[in-house]
Amino acid sequence: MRALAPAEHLGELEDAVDDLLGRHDVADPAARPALWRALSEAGFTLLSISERAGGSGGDLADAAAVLRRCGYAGLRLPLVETLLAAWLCEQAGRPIPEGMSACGVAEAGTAAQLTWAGTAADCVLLVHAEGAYSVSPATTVATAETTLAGEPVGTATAGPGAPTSVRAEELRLRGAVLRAAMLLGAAQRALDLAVQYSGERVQFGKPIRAFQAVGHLLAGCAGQVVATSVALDAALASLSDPGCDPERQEVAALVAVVEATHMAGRLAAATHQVHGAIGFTAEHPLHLSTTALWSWRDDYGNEFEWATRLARIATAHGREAWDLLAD
Amino acid sequence: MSTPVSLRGYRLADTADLRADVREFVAAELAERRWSARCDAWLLGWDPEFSQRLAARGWVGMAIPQEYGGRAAGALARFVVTEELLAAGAPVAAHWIADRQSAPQLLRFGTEQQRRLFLPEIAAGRMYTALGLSEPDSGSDLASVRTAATRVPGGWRVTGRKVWTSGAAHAHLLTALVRTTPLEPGTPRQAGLTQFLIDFDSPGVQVHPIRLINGEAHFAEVVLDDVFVADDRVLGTVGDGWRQVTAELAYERSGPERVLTTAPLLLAFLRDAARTGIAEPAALGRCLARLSTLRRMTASVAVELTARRTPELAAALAKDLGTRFEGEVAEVVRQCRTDQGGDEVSRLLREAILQSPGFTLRGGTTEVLRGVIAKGMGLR
Ligand SMILES: Cc1cc2nc3c(=O)[nH]c(=O)nc-3n(C[C@H](O)[C@H](O)[C@H](O)COP(=O)(O)OP(=O)(O)OC[C@H]3O[C@@H](n4cnc5c(N)ncnc54)[C@H](O)[C@@H]3O)c2cc1C
Repeated sequence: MRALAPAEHLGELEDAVDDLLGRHDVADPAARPALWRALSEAGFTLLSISERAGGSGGDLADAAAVLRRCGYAGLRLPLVETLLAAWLCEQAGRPIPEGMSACGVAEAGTAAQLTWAGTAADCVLLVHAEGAYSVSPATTVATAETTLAGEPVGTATAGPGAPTSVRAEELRLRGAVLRAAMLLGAAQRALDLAVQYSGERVQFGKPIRAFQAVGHLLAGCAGQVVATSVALDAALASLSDPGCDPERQEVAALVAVVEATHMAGRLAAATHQVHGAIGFTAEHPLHLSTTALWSWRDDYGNEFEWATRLARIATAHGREAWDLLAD
Repeated sequence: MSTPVSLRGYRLADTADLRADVREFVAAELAERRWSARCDAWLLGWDPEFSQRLAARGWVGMAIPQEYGGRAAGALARFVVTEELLAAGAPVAAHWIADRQSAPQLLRFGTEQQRRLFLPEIAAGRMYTALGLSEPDSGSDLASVRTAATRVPGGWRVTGRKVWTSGAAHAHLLTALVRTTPLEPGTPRQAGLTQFLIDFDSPGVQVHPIRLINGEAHFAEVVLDDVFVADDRVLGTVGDGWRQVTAELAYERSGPERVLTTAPLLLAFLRDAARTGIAEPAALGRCLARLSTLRRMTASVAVELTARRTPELAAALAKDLGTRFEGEVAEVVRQCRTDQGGDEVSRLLREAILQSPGFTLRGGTTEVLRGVIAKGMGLR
């Protein structure tokens, strides 16, 4: 039995990311290009992509550590999308995008409502046609819409592509696992804000944390966050282990994304409740975390879809699903 | 996370051989119809012969060092065996508390004489213990216990009443929390408590079984009427009972039994589901995801415990999530099943529902655990 304890270097990596983010105004959309350049120069945007393919090396746990801290900081940049685009290109033997990229699945050659398409310099699509998949660069147009998290949206149209063995479900699940790391970061931040505020806000002559109902609400949040964190660590370890059976990897990934997407809405609701009206305002930083929680939980699929997929796999194994559910 | 709660998952892959051994044993037992699966088998399944067959395989007292008759197999091996037995719904109740709680307590606080006397018997699956904490007026507020002892030559005389004492009707030894220094105004209530090891056949001990809502009697009221307890049956240090009891709470709260009480139902449902279909796959999937996460969390606490750390906060988190999950399983199976036949799933479902009130009460209620978590997060 091996501990999934984080390697020492993950802590250092997280500190380095925090340090970099601390030097930028993360909430300001105008600061995004400079922030991306800084992250990219530090090698934080292409972790888990091999150096041979033009990435920064490292594994998924490294990439997730960066994503978690960026999620904590409330960052709005196409980190997950760029990682997915680079991974698709790497798998298909194509050159990886150099800067920000959007990424998605296209049925019939186009992908609508695609986050960052038209705003990021590049866009890579996994195109599904006649039962086969190909990886294509795309032309994009931004629309006036944004996601719940305030990220830009556009439409992408596929150009000529290269064949790939990667399937849509695989890409989407990988995207959801990476997104789960950002969700976890956003949830941790929302919880930290709520814990802090509950000690500062005084009503009825005492800090509101002194009320048992508030304490229990926050304790419940901690349980959700820890559950997501345990499940995500396990999924990352499983996905990074080349010897691991693909079905086990899929199950570990599904467990993590089910936990993360389920946790997201609950954390948003509970942390708003603790903040009262002030947390409902545009000035207060809480919404940076909660709008991310509401938005990102629906990226690449949602909790109902993931849970259904997990149930189908388990049912196919009958009682032996027990073995698939922890490794 | 920056909130001071952390837990890491563990991978259980390296223990696959041990799992397979336990499963083979279970399959053979079931083939011989020695017992059938039950939910909450660690309370309901009292079967001394099973405990002894298990011990013969080396699966009782796995965490006890060899010099005291144990296997010194380590906490994770014990974790795996426990998981498999609970998932199978095997009758593990007889040796349960002795194996889980009394053995580590004796190792930590017991005298050499006590260890030599009790541990080999526990490891052989022959000696069963019960926990005498709760009293009629002391539930969550455990420090208020009133069972009291007075000093006499060579030992103590104990008088009082314990309730909800699981297994008391058949166990050999009661680990009782008793007040040995009368409460004085101004002194903390946690001071002056002592743990005693009381033989159930000592003069003055009476056991009155109490029926659960399923009609079976698995716990009891234990009346102690001027019971003599010799000095060599004090566990640990006189006056240190509170610290000793709270140190054992992590063992009591974090084990796989706080997650898997209704696993036999879930697994029986899964076995049939390919044939019967599932009405609400998303609800089932969520439940399975949580099961997976909780198995990893409890494995992680088991490892923390071997490192002699007392992960009180992590244990409280795991138990809060785990025991609520145990009740959820019954609701999810109700929601997901498509036939209502009189099969094993129906039997286990009925059992899960009838046992469910106890899950979030025993070993510290959900509300008390949330308080422990809140405190650990610095909220109080
Ligand atoms: C199946 C089963 C087996 C058991 N086995 C044993 C055993 O072997 N040995 C033993 O000693 N005991 C045993 N118990 C007893 C168990 O430990 C107690 O039930 C538990 O500690 C709660 O005490 P209580 O039942 O008196 O409830 P109470 O403490 O009276 O609680 C009643 C309600 O009030 C709430 N409450 C109490 N205090 C607070 C607070 N401060 N804040 C918020 N809410 C609060 C509780 O959460 C609960 O909802 C067993 C119980 C069960 C159900």
